Amino acid sequence: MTKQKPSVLLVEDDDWLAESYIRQLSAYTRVQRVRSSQAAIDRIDEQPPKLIILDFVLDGVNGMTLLHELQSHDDLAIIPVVLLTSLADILGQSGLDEYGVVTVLDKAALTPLMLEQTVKRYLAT
Amino acid sequence: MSVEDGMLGVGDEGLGNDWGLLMAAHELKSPLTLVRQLAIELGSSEASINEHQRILQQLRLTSEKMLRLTTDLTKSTSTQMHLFPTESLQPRAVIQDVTSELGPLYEAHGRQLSIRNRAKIPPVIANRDLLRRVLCNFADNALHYTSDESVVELFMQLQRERSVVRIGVRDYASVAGKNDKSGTDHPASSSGLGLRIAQQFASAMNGTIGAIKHRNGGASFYIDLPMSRQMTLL
Repeated sequence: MTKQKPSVLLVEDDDWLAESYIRQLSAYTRVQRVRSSQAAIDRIDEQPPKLIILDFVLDGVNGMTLLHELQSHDDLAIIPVVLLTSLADILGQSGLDEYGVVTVLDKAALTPLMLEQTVKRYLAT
Repeated sequence: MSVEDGMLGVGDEGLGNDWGLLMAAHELKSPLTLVRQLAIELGSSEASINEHQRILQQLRLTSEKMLRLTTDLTKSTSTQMHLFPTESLQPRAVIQDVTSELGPLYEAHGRQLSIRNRAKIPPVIANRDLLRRVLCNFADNALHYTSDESVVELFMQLQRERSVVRIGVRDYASVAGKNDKSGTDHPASSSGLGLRIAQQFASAMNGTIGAIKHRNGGASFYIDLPMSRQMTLL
């Protein structure tokens, strides 16, 4: 019996960047992708993932809306969130851990190995 | 800057200042991040042959998009604006150029860019290169900010009472909030740089740009240009 890969929700509005991340993540996770915070909320309601990878600046409302929404539900507040953003140098990590953000990754410096190590680390917790 | 029916509240300040540099950097960062990511994937040789081909196509199309922006930025500097003479030209020919140029990009996204009407439209007074850039700008934005599978159309409309021809891009995106559709409601990731450039190009041709948000969904971004009097003299 094959063990099912853990479920990760990718929230990314750039289609081709999302395709690239999905190609990498699919090797070790089951990836679902949505484009917006609202779509993420709807998907999480249907089936909470083990980990959320969130682009902060999204078309429409930004990622803070999703983070606030997650924190307002006890069962969803425990889902770890990895922020994957071009604003990593501005956002930093400070103050974001109370929103369930476990780490901030810089899109402009990301490598496949960094992504894999980060995702596996927080799926194991 | 706001997108309301008709006029766009775009400022007249030039782009050769700190704001302009900041917005240019912001607009280039996303596609450059994508190019870097795709190049890393190609280098890892994990991709299948089909994925390899797709990644190469995405690299080329993204690079072309960045080149359009950098060329627009260069042309929009105030020192360059006087170098664009106007002439009487058929807007249909320019629209066809735009569909040829952006067709592959749309296709790669699984989308369609089409020309709406075949009605006879009089020529306009414009600069061919600037007009093409304005329409490419609008069509690039329509592709980026409408995430559903709806068609995007280039259109032309004679407004005889004002002696102008309206040429623009119409998208039919779903209203924001339904399913996973982002619609065209003030996307947070837009710096407004593209619209400022379009406004500068329009002004250089004695034209204006505007936008209409449609009740049945989607929006139109357009440029109004003076109608050429040449045909009316015949």
